[in-house]
Amino acid sequence: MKETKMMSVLTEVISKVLSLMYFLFEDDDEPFEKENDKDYKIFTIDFWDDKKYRIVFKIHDRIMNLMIENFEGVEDESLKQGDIISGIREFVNIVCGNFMNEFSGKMKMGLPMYSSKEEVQKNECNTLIDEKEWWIENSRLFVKIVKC
Amino acid sequence: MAINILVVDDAPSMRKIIIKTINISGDYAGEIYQAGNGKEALEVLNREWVDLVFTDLNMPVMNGMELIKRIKENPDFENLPIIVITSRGKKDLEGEEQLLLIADFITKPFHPEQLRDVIFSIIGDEYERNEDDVGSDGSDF
Repeated sequence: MKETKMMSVLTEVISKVLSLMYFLFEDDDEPFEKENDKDYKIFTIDFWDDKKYRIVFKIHDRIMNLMIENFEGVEDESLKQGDIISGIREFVNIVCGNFMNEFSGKMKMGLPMYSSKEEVQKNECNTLIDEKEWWIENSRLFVKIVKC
Repeated sequence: MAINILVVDDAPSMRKIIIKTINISGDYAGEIYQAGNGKEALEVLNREWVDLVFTDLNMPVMNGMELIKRIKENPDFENLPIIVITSRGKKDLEGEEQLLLIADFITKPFHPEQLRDVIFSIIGDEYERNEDDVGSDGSDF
């Protein structure tokens, strides 16, 4: 897998999954408000062949709620935090599976993990390959690919 | 004749969507059981009568490949149709011998219509045959 191609493929996959499953699209306009850094959750998933990589997702709570509301067709009030975390882990799993489908070869993927900021910072996977951010409903979804 | 279905996925939200799709696509479903991984699925199969299994592949504790292998090793379940619903593409799983044992394969993300079409391609003939046995007034005459 060519590292230089990874983010462009991942970008296409994330856009496809967000629109098809969660009915969410990237904002056309610049965001009008600044967000609080504590309102994010972090999820990771590893994939590997002879080298090991990790995709790190930092997702604003508002986007997570919208995703699960849209996917399940329910109102925000009825969602429990556990349902949201589990739903986003599934999103990460689907994105990574589809991402790997775009490359030939026998790559393996791990299970999606819900992580803390501290865990992500202290782990061994910290060589940045690429990063990108999406603005959705004025909230941010931040993704980076790192090498372990 | 209603069929009993087992849905195996570690994501409760995905199980919910699969079950919702099954329920709105016809009145063929009897009991719908759920399991969060392969181990739980085997426990359900040993306890309940199941006619059709939907399973994810990437799951903790026991993954879908191991579940398919265990099911097909058991003579009681060897004819049980299994539909794999996964984020991995079929071509990326080529060479996995368990894939030869499954009835069909759906890649996530999927449209509800895809799920319905696959269900009917597997159970449709039998379901329609049973429906034909029932008279137009709903009676058996």
